[in-house]
Amino acid sequence: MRIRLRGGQIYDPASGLAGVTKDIDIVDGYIAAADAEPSDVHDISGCVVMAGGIDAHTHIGGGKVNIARMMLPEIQRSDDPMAVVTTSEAGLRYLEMGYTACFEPAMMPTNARQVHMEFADTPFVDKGAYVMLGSDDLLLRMLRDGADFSQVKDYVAWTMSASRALAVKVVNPGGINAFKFNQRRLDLDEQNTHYGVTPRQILTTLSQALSELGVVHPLHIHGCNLGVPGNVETTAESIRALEGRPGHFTHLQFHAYGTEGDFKFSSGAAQLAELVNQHPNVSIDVGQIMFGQTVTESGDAMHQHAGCKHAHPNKWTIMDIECDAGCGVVPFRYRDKNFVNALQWAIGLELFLLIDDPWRVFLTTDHPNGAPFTSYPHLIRLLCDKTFRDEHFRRLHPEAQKMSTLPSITREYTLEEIAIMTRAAPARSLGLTQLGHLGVGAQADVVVYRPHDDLERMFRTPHLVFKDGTLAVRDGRLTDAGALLPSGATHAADVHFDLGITRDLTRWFDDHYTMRADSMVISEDEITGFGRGRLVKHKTSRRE
Amino acid sequence: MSSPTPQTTALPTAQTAAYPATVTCPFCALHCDDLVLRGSGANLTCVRAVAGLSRWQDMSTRPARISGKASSLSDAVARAQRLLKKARRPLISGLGADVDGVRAALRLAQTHDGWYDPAQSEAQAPLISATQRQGVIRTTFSEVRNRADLVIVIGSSVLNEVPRFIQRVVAPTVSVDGRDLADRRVLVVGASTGQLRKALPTVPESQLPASIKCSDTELPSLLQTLAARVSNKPSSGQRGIERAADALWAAISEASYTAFVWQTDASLGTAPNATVELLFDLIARLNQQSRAAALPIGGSHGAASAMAVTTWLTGYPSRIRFQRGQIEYNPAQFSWRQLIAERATDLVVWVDAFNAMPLPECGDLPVLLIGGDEADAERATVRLPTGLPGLDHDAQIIRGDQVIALTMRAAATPTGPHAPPVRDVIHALTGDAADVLKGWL
Repeated sequence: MRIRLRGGQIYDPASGLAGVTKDIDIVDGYIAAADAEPSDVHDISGCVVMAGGIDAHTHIGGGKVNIARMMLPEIQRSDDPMAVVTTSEAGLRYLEMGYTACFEPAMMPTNARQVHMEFADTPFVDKGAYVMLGSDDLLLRMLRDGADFSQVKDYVAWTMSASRALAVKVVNPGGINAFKFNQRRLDLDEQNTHYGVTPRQILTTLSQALSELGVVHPLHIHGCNLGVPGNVETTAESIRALEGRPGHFTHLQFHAYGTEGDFKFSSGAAQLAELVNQHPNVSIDVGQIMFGQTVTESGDAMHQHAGCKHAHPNKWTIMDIECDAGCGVVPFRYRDKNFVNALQWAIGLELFLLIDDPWRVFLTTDHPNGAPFTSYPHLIRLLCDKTFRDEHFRRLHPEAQKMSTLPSITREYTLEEIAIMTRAAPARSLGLTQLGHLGVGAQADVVVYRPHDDLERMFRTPHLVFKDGTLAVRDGRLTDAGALLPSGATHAADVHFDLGITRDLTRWFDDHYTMRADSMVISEDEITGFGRGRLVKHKTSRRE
Repeated sequence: MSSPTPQTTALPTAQTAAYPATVTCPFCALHCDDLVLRGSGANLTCVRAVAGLSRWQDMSTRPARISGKASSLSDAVARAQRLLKKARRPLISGLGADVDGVRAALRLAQTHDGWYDPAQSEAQAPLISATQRQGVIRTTFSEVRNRADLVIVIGSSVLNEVPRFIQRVVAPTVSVDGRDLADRRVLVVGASTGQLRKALPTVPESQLPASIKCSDTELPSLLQTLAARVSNKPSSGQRGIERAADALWAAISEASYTAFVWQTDASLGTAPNATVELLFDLIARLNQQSRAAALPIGGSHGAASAMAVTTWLTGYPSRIRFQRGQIEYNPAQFSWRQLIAERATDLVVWVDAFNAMPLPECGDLPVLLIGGDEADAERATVRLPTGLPGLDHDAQIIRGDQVIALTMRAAATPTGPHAPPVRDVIHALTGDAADVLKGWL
C-alpha cells in the first residue's frame, strides 16, 4: 500500500527543504521515493508538512513523575490537568499535537526499570531516556581515588547499557550527593564535602568519557546552582569548562540569572546567548516557563529542597535514592504579576531570540517544570509573532518589564527555524538517523498542518498525523487505525565496555548495596516482550 | 551491631535442576535478589523465605474450585466468565500481583465499569495522605545502609516482617563512601527489650538495638515533644515521654544522618495518620539544620507494584471507580471495605497471587478469587489458581522502598510452574480462554 501526500509545502531542514511544494510517499511505514502509483492519496495543497515533532527533554516516566501524580490529584481533576498526566494521556496528547518521539532526561540507573515500564504504558510515541550519573557514590569514589580513566569509561558504558539509555545526563554534578552530607550548595570549583571532587572534574570526566565511547548526544548538563540568583556566572564558567568539547546545557533559563536591580534578580540571557553563539560545541534547550499551576520534578534534591518554601500548594517530596541520585517534587505556580516569575518568562524568550543558530536550540518547557508540554503551540506563536509577544509582555509585573530587553528584539522565528528546533536539530543531536526528516528511508512520522495566521492554533491541532506510516490523528482526533497502533520504539545507544567492569561492579554491589549489580541490567525482552515495541540500538564507535 | 548467625537450609534434593538457582525472593518488601535455592551455595537463612518456599512447593494441591469443590480449570474459567458477564459493578481488589498482573486487573476494572481498590490501600493511606498534604523526605534501603549513622525504628514490626532488615541494611559496617559505620546506633521506639529478643533470637543480648519505651497511644505525644526539642521550644509532657524524647534527641543531635524506619503494613500505634504526619513534620524540621529521612517500608506481596502501576496508569494510587471511560478518585469513600459493607458492588474479584491477602468476609456477595489459600478458596464462588510471581513465572515487581523495580526470573521445578500468571488468568476471563491458557486447560 502506497500513501501519497500530494501538494504540501515541505519543511524538512535536514534535506534542505523550506516550504518547497513536493509530494511525500509512504510505503510500509517509511518515506519512499514518489516513483509509483499510490493506492491512497491525501490532497494537502497549501498545507505545511513536517516530520513528527521530537521532544528532547520531557519528564514523562519514572519515580519522581509518579510521585507527582500521587501528590496532586487536584491538578488532575482541574481544568488544566496537563502538568500531571498518566502515561496513556501523555502519549495521546503528544501525538495529537504532532509529536512522535519523546525523551525522558532524568532516568536514574536504579529506577531505570520503572522508566521503561512506564514507557511500555506510554502509547504511540517513540521514546528513550538519558541516564543520570555524577552524584552516584561509585563514580565519585573512582574520581576521589584517581581510578584509571578506562575504568571510569567502562563504568559509564555499563550503566548506559544496563539502563538502556540513549545518552547521559548529569544533574548538579556531585551536588545531589553532597546534599546527603548536609552540604547545601556546590559551585563549579567547590569540593563535594565528602569526596573532595568538584563539579568541574565531573563535567570534564563525563564529557570526555562520552566522547571516547562515541555516544552521539553530548553530555546533557543540568548545571550547578539551579535557580540561584547570580548563577549566570556559574553557567558561563561551565560552558568554558568544556574547553571545546561538545556539551548540551539543559533548561538554560533556570541557569541564566543575574543579581542586578532592586530585587537582586536580573536577566543573564544576553551574556549566555553571546557565549552560546561563540561556542559551536554547545547546544541548549531553554526550559521556558509559562504562567499557571504546574509541578517541578527534578533529580536536583539539593536545590529542590532549598526551593520548598516556595511550594504552591504547600507540599513537596524530597528523596535521597540508593547511593545513586535523588529527587525533588515541588508544585509551583508561576504568576505574571510576580516579579521573579515574570522575568523568568522574559529570560526564556530572550534566550530563544538572541541565540542565532536554531540547530543548537531545542524548544522545551522542561515539562512540567516550566509548563506542561501542551503549551508548545503558544510558545511557538510567541517566538514567531512579535505583536503577540509584545501584547503578553505588557501584562508582566512592571518592574520585570524594565529589566528585560524583549521589546527591543524584533526577531520573529520562521517556520523553517521552528522545524529545525522541534525536529531536525533534536534528531541530529540525539543521533536518530531515521527521525526528524522526510528523506527517503525516514520513519514515516509525518505531520500535516493547515496553515493559519494564528500559529498557536495551527500547531495545536494538526490536520493529519502519521505514525510509522499509519494515519493516526485527523483534525486533533485519534483515528480507529491510530487506536490500534503498536507501541512506539525505544531508542537506546549500543555502547561497548570491557567485561572486567562487571566483575568490579558485582563485587561493589555485593559489598555495599541491597541488590546485585545483575539486577540492574534490563534485558531486551523486558522492553520488547508482549508486543511492546521495537528496541532500536543506535551505533556508537568507541575510541581510545 | 552484628547480624544474626545464619543457619542455612536448602531446597530438598528433589527440586534440584540444572536451571539458574539464584532467585529474587517474593516473600517480603525487601525482595532480596540473592537467594540461592539449591546446590552448595544454597543460602536460605531467612525464616520467611524458608516458610514461603515450603508453602510454594505445596501449591500443586491448590486446584480450581467452584463453590468450594475442586473442579477442572476449564469449568472454573467458564463459570468465572459467566460471573463477570452478569456483574454490573464488580470490585477488583486484593491486588497482590506482579506488574503485569496489576495492569491486567486495572484493564478488567476499566472494561467492566468496576470499582478498584487494592487491599493494602488502608495500610498505605497514611503515606499517601502525607504525600498529598505536606512536606515529605524519604530515602531507600541502600541509602540507609550506607549513609545513616542513626536508625530509629518505630515499632518492632519491621524486624518481624522484614527478617533480613538488620543483616542487610543495618549490620554492615563499611559504607560505600568509605566511612566506618561500626558505631551505627539503632533505637527501636515502642518495642520492649523482650519483644526485641523475640524478633532477633540470634543476636547476642549486648548487641540488641536499644529500646525506647513508648506505648501505642503515646507515640504522637512523643513525636510532638521531640519536635519541640528540635525547634528549641518548651514542652510539658509526661515524664516518661520527656525521658524518651531526651534520649532520642541526644542521639539525633550526635548523628549526621538519621533514618526513621517503620512498616506501613502493620499498625503504627493507635493513630497511624497522625503519627505519620508528625513523623514527616519532625523530619522536615530536622532537615533545616541536619540530614534525616524516612524509610516507610510497605507494599509487600505486590502492594508496592499495585500502587505504582495504578498511579502511572490512572493518575491515582487506589480507591477509584471506572465509569464509561471516566476515572473517579475518592479516597474517603471508595475503600474496598466500605464498598463490600455497603453492598455497592455485586461481585468481588480478589487477586492474591502471593497468598498473603486474606479474603475478607463478603457475606452473600459472589466472589471470584484468583490465587489465595485453601481456606479462602472454600469460601469463594469460583477460585482460579495462579502461580507465585518470581518463582512460577517471570515477574516484575517494585520493592518496598518504592523506587527499585526488579525482574524476578522463575525458578525451575521438575514438574514445571504450578499455575498460570495473574495476567493470563485475567485475559482468559475476557478473551479466548482456550487460547490464553493453552497447556493449562
